[in-house]
Amino acid sequence: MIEDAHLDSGAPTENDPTAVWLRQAKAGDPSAFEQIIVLHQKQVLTTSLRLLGDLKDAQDAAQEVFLRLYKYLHRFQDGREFPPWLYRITVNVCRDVQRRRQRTATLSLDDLVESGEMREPASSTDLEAELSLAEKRSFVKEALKRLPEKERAAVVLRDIEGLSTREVAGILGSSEVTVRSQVSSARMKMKLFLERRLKRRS
Amino acid sequence: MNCNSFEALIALYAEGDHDSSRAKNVESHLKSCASCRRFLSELEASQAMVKELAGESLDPASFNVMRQRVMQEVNRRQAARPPWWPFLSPALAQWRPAWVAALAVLVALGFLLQWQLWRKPAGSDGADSPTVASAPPVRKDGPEASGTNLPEKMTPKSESSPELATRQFAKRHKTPAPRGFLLPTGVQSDAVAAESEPPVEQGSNLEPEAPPPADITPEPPPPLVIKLITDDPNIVIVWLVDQDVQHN
Repeated sequence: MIEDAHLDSGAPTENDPTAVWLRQAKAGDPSAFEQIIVLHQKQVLTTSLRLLGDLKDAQDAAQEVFLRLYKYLHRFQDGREFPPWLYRITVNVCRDVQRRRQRTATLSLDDLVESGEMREPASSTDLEAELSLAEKRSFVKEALKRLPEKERAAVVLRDIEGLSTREVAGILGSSEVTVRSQVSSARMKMKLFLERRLKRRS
Repeated sequence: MNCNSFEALIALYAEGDHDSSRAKNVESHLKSCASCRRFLSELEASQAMVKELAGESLDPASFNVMRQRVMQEVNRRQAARPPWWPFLSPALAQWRPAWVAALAVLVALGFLLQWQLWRKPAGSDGADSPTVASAPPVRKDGPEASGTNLPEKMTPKSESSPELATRQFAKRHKTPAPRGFLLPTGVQSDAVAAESEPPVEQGSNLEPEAPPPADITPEPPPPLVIKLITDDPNIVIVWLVDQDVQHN
């Protein structure tokens, strides 16, 4: 079920192409709905990929997001901001996909921190030195996969999608204090994981 | 506050997630703590790596495949929808709470009525009704008058009943009905006594248990009023029971 009680309301103007396409799509125009997909497919697919860590799963999730959007399009109130609403559907769908596939990580970051394995002092090596962009992204994706579901959603929306803490809280349906706590915990765990990965590589 | 506690605050400070007063608190600690300054530096490096992911672009084919699959399904659903759907769906969405509330009220009323009908046979004398009150005398023109709004079990007998045929015979011939006709006790006094000869003759043509006729048309007994008061003060179910019919 889609609820948008906590979402920030914006004020899309007539210059906002999404608002125009939304009105036409609500009136039953499939080509207008396709334009909405074109405008927002990057947001949905990349967020799904970061939350799920697998391109095929992300494509399935993105497809489900847009079909859910089509089903509940009439519930979207004119005048509200559209992207947070779409983010919320995306997070919900990815959570459902993740629970369905029941793919559990063999070792979570929490386990590593608890065991003390990740408490070794970081080397003085600069994390970015001698590291290709592809490697960096690969390490970050691996770290994201190992985060608890809620922390992953919070850090993806805050640090990668670049949303404010208030927006993230609205999308996740939680308080700003909770989001700050989740983000802080996720950043520290990812720092430890990346340092450990770098050390192993060197 | 020790350095471990500050690490959680530094993780937020690194991305400007603190308000100014808390940020100043963290800064003052950083000035005096080399370990926390190193932690901040390492955290900024790892955050830079995390943010690299934002610049990642996907193969356009990934989007196209997904979009085509979505539009196939959308077109299929669009074709399956009735033509009035675009006009009705916004109204349904806008008034959804009202629809739900109306449906809930209807279901509750239906349940109450069904419950009352089910209780009727045992409680027809009003003994076990929640609230029973006598209504003021109500003038009525005949036994059928007050029975029009009653449930089927409580309504007078239909027009084709033997009692009505008996009454019609008595009216037509200005005499009591012959033997073999059964007159209902209440009807007999109303219909026959007012129009026929004195009760001496009448008694010989009627069933022995027929009551003596009155000189004038008797006032029909007032209907029994059963009020069912529900939890909702706005819902009171009023039940009119014709006592005249009950004796038949």
